[in-house]
Amino acid sequence: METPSVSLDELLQRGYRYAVSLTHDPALAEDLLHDAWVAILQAGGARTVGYLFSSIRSRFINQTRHERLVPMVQWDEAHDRGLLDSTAAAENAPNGRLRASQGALERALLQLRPIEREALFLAAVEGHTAAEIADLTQQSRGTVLSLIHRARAKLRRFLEQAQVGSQP
Amino acid sequence: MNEMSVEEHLQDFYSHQQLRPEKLAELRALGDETSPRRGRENADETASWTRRQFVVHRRLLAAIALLLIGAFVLGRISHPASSGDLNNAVLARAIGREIAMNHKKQLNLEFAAADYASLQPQMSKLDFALAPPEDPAVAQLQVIGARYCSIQGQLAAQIRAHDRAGLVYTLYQTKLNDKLRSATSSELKAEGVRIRLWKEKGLFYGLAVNWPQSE
Repeated sequence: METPSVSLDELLQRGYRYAVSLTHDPALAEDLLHDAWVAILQAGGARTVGYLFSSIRSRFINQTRHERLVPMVQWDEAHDRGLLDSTAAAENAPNGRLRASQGALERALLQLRPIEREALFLAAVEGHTAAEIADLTQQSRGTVLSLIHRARAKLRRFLEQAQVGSQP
Repeated sequence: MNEMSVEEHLQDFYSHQQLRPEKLAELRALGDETSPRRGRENADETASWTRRQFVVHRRLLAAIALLLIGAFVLGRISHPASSGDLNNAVLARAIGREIAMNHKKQLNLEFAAADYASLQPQMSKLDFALAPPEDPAVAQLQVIGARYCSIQGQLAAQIRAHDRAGLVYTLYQTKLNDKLRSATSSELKAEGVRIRLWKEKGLFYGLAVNWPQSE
């Protein structure tokens, strides 16, 4: 994953946001970033976004494997088939735009699995291509494309439900 | 609350996720302290230095061992070692230390005199005749005065003198006894003082001067 050189502050902020996408918890994200950063410094590793993200990811996976706090499971198509069917119409809506507060988005993201939030973050916020995400997450490009598509649909559905619920 | 796409909502949400300033400063400081390139260089330098030191030390130790073995062999051939030799050297060292400590004290003189001949009648307790050293360099030192002292428990004269540069010397004289006769004539340094020990005319001499000022 090629990334242009960034300032130290920007690198750390991006690492933090990536950690938030995985943990969806500011405190856990800080800890994760801290551990990953220290590991890079101790190893004399490159201070690049790609290296930092890899370090964060591997630590997150190790933590979840050991602690079983947030299981990193693969996409379960059967589980989400109903959701996909129900959101297909909204996904194909003319403008695909919707209103959502920060709180609503936060709650909606909490409904996603870490692997889904991660894929969405890398694609929508970091602007990586599916191939780049596949490289970072050690998955095939097809799996990543599928993951992003379904995660986006899922999030949209949650946000729409929140939108409907907030209307008078 | 504007209408936005999912991507725009995500971008907006994550743009609000900021690392706390304190934590950012902490991580930044960690990064500043341990620059990866500098860290690697330091590690390499340290490893390289250690390897170099190890090689140098190994060679140095080997050279010292060879020298010691050579010196031991030569010594055994030319001058068979005995416990007596060792004792004599140890005794000389002990005398040197004693003289050095006395020299450093610079106690007040008991008798003022400009030469040895003037000192003798004043130091009536001495059971030997004071004599200027044969070494011209020492004999030329200007005598200032003297006081009584002891060397290895034996009464001695502590004569203070100075050279033309004003450097103060202390010359010790005492009668040779069996013990002092066995002490090795030598030059040594102790307590920041350079000491020369020798024997002549039935007397034991010790000359002390501050070191390295005398170099």
